[in-house]
Amino acid sequence: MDRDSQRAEYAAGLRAAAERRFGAARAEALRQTIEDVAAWMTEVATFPVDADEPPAFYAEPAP
Amino acid sequence: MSLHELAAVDAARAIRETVLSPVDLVAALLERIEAVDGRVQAWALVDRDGARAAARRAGDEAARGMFRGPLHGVPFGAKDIFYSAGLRTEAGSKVMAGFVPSYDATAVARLKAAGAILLGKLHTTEFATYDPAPTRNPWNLACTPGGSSSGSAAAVAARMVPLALGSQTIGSNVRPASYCGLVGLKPTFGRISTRGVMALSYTQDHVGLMARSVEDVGLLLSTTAGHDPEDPSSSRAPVPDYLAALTRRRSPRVGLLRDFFERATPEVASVTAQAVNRLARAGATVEEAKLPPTFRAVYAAAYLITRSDTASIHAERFAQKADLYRPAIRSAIEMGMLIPGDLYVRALRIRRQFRRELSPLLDRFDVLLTPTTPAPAPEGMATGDPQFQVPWSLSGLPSITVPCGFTTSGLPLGIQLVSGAFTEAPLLAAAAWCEDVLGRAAAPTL
Repeated sequence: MDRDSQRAEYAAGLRAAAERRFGAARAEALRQTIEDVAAWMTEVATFPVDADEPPAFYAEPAP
Repeated sequence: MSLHELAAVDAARAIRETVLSPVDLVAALLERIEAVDGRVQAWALVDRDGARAAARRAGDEAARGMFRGPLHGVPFGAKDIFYSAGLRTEAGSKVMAGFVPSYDATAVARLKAAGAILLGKLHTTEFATYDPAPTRNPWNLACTPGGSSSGSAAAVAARMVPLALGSQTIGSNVRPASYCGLVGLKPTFGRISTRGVMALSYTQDHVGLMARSVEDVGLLLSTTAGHDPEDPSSSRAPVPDYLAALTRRRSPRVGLLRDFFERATPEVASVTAQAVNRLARAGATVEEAKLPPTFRAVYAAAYLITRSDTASIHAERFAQKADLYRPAIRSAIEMGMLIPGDLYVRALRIRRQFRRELSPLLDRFDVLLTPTTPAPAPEGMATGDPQFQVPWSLSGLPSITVPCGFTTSGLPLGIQLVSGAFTEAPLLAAAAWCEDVLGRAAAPTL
């Protein structure tokens, strides 16, 4: 799937979830924010993270 | 020089030499607040009685030769997300109206233990996010002081207090410090305890420090840094002598991050380039530096992480009081509830990869240098663009802004210096060297 399709799919999913959780009026109010978040989700989902890279959680070890 | 203009190091020295009374210093600052805060609106709460009582106590102790620590009798302000025992702490939000903590945030407690006097609480955007505070920029009242640490920056710049605590999750300490012509430090993640600081993100919340000189920021850091068993994100890394480090100033090896210059306005890029030329002429080694490929994803990662964390942190309160939240933070919380867990974890992996890939670059240079902001403080209420702070908030690396000049319209600009994790001592030394070369910002006219 190309990036634009991926982003559109994320945006559609977020809109549907927003309507379910917050109602149609709030989902409409969140329209631009949904587009922003869908773009960030696409960037993170498509960026080539190293396979053995663990997440950085709470505290990093001191040097 | 009027007492309200004194730097913290000078005030502390004068108090120790008993040539300055903390009572007189607090009185001068309260008088200054009375004179200018109606226009600047930096303070959410001024604890006049508490500060006067603490000043009398500090004065009595000084007269007996008793000094609690290096900030004995020196006032400071704290952003209104720092718990302060017995003082209202409302985070700029109706959600927290009337909340009075029973204990001090660790950073506040450590400053008090070092002898400092809490003068009051400083305005913040709502819960340190986007919905603005009423505060104005002392350099131009039509402009924002930046945010979220709006009151902290404006109060120090307007000479209402010499030192302030701010915080940074995205760009909330270094950016407003620069907009207001100050030195602002965001230390390494975990360097200063965040216990008692209203949380926004588990992985990106940092206590921030603001003052009018690198030396004063060093004094603040030396009294607030160090492990806190009550804060699981607090580092056990040893705390060096930051003030001693300032005596070891030398011309630094500077890595110039050209990408940032290209995203700044022509005027900001030009003023910063002139500052870099001055540093080079004074002896700094300046070379171009290139960020690793992960840089492309750091913004998306940072925003997904903070939205998700904020939604989790506010879940219970939001379920009960959603209508009391202002629009921007309300949207951020709602969107954070919808971000899938796998992408949240992937963003945290990007965070770690970015930090790892930065290591060779940080080994090559003493500091990386960028303009602190892509543009000067904008007019209006919106708090400006945090994009030049995001990579360092995400990676947890220390960054500091030092004033470097002014726009033609008279607004301050800064250079941002970044270094490796837990290298605040050499970072402060480099910043002090730059400050010596570039000079300090004068006081705004109010």
